[in-house]
Amino acid sequence: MRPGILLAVAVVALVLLPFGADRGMLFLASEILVVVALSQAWNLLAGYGGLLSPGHHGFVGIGGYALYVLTRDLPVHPYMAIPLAGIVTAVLGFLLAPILFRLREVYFAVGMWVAAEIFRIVVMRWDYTGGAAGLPLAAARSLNREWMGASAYWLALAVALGATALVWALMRSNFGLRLRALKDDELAARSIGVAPHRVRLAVFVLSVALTGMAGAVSFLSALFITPVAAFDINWMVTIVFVTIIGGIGRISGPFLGAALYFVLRETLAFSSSWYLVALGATAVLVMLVMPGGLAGALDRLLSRKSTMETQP
Amino acid sequence: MIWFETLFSGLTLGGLYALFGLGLSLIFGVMKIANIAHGELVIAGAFLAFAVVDLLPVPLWLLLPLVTMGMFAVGYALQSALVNRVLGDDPLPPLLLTFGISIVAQNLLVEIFGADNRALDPGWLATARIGPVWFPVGLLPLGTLILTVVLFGVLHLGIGHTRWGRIVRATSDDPALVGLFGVKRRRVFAVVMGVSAALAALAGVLLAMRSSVTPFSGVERLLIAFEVIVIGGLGSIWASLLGGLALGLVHVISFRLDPASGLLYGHILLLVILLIRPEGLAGRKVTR
Repeated sequence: MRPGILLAVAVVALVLLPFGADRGMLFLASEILVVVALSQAWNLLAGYGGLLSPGHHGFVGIGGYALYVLTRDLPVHPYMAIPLAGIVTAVLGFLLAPILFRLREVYFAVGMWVAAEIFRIVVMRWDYTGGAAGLPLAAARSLNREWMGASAYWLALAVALGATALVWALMRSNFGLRLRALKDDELAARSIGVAPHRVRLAVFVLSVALTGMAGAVSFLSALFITPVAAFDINWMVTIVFVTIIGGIGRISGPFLGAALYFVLRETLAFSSSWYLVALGATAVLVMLVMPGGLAGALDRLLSRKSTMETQP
Repeated sequence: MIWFETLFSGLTLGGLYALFGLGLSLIFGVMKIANIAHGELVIAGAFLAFAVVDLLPVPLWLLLPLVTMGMFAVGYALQSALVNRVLGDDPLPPLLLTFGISIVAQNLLVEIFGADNRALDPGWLATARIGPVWFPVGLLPLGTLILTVVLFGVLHLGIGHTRWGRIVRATSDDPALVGLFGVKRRRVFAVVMGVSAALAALAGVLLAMRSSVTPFSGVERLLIAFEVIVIGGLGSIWASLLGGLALGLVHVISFRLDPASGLLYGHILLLVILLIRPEGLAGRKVTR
C-alpha cells in the first residue's frame, strides 16, 4: 500500500477515535497529542533551526493563561480562543526576539530559560491573572459537557497534525532549505544571501505560537489553571525526552518518542521516580548508541523506501 | 547599618552563587559543553554529606574533603564512561546526554533519600560571629566567601600557571594536536569533570549548611549557575566570581525591598546585561 493511503487511513482512524473510546482513553489520547504538538514545535526550533530552547514551558503557560484571560474578558468562545492564544504567544515571542536574538547558543538558551521564569513570576504576582491561586475557566458554561472530552481531543488532534503538516511543508519549501543551510554552515549560508535573523525569527515565532496553542488546548479541559501547573518545568523535561528519544530533527520523531514516553509512563506508573529514572537512562542510551533516536533507527531498518518516515 | 548587613549577606550569598558557577564555567571553558547535570552534582554533594554524617559522626573539617573526593570520583567516572563518548563538533549530544543524566540522578536521589527537605547542622558554626562589636558578622557566611575566593585563586593558578593547566588549555584549544604529544585527551577531560563535580559538591555542602535542600533543588541551582557565568561573561574564571557577587547582591537587596519577588530581579538583571553588554560584565567578545 502506498504511504499516502496509509497516512489517510491513520488520520481518519484518529478523527473517529472519540466514537469508540471511553473517557479515560480519550483523555490520555489528548494528552499524547498535546505532547506530540509541543515536541513538534520544539523540534522545529531545535532540530531544524539549531536553536536550543529550555524555556518553552514559559510559552505553554502563556498559551494556557491566554485562553483563560481572553475568554473571561472578551466574548470569545473557548475554541476560538485557542488560535488567539497562539497569536498572543507569537506576539510575545516577536517582542522578546530582539533581546534573545542578540545571543547565540548558551546565551540564547539561558535567556530563554530566564524569560520563562519571568513569565511565571509575573503571572504569579499579578492580580489580573489571578495570582498564585490561579483562575477558573469563566467560559466553562458555554461548553457542551457531553462533548467536552471529544472536542478537547479533536482540538489536540488538530494542533498536533497541524504542527506536523506545517513542519513538513516548511521543510520542503525554500524557507526550510535556508533554515537547514543556516544550521549546517552559517557563514556559507550568509554568503549566498540567506538572512540569518529573519529566518530564525520566523521559525522562533512559529515554534512559540504552536507551543502556545498546544498549551491552551492542554488546559481547556482542566477548567482551572494555576501558575505552578502552567509553568511547570516538567513540560520542558517531557518535550526534550520525547524529541531526543524519537529522533531530533526528524518529523516522525515526536510521534515515536511520544509513543515510547507514554508506554514507559503507563507501565511504570507505580513509581513516578523509577519511571523518570528509566526515561533518563533511555535518553542517555539513545545519545550513546543511536543519536538519530527511534526515527533514525527505523530509517536504517526500512532503508529509504518509505519517504514518509524520513525527513523531507 | 542595615545596609551594611544587606551588603554583607549579598556578597556572601554571591560567593556561594559564584561557586555554583565555577565548575560549570570550567567545563564550558575547557570542553565547550553545557553540563545540564551540574545542578544535580551540587545537590548530590549535599546528599553525600547527609549520608556520611548519618553513618558516622565525622567533624566538618573531615566531611568537606571526604565529600569533595567522593564527588571527584563521580565526575571522573561520568566523564570517562558517558560524556567522552559523545564529544564532537555538535554541542547538542553532550547537552542532551547530561540532561538525561540529570533526570536519572535527581530521581535516584529521591528513591534513596526520599523527597523531604534536609539540611546539614553546622553545629557551633551556625551562631559563631566574628568582627568588631559594632558590626559582628556570621563566621559561616564569611568563611564561605573566603573559601570561594581561595578556590577561584587556586583554580586560576592551577589552569594558568602549572604544567597540568598548560595541558588542559592545550587540550581545549586543539584536542587532536595534543594527542601527538602523548596527551590522553579523554583523561584530561575526565579530570576536569572531576574537579568541576568536586567544586559543585563543595558548593552543595555549603548550601545545605545555610538552607534546606531536596532532590529537586538542582534545577534552580543550575539556573543560578548559568546566570552567574552569563552575567560575569564566558571565557574567564574571575568573571564568574564577579557574576556571582552581582547576582547575590541583587537577590538580597530585592528581597529586602520586595520580599515576594523571589529571583525576579536577578532574572531581569540578566536580561538587562545581555541587552547592554552581551559578552557579560567581564567577558571577552565572542564571535559566535
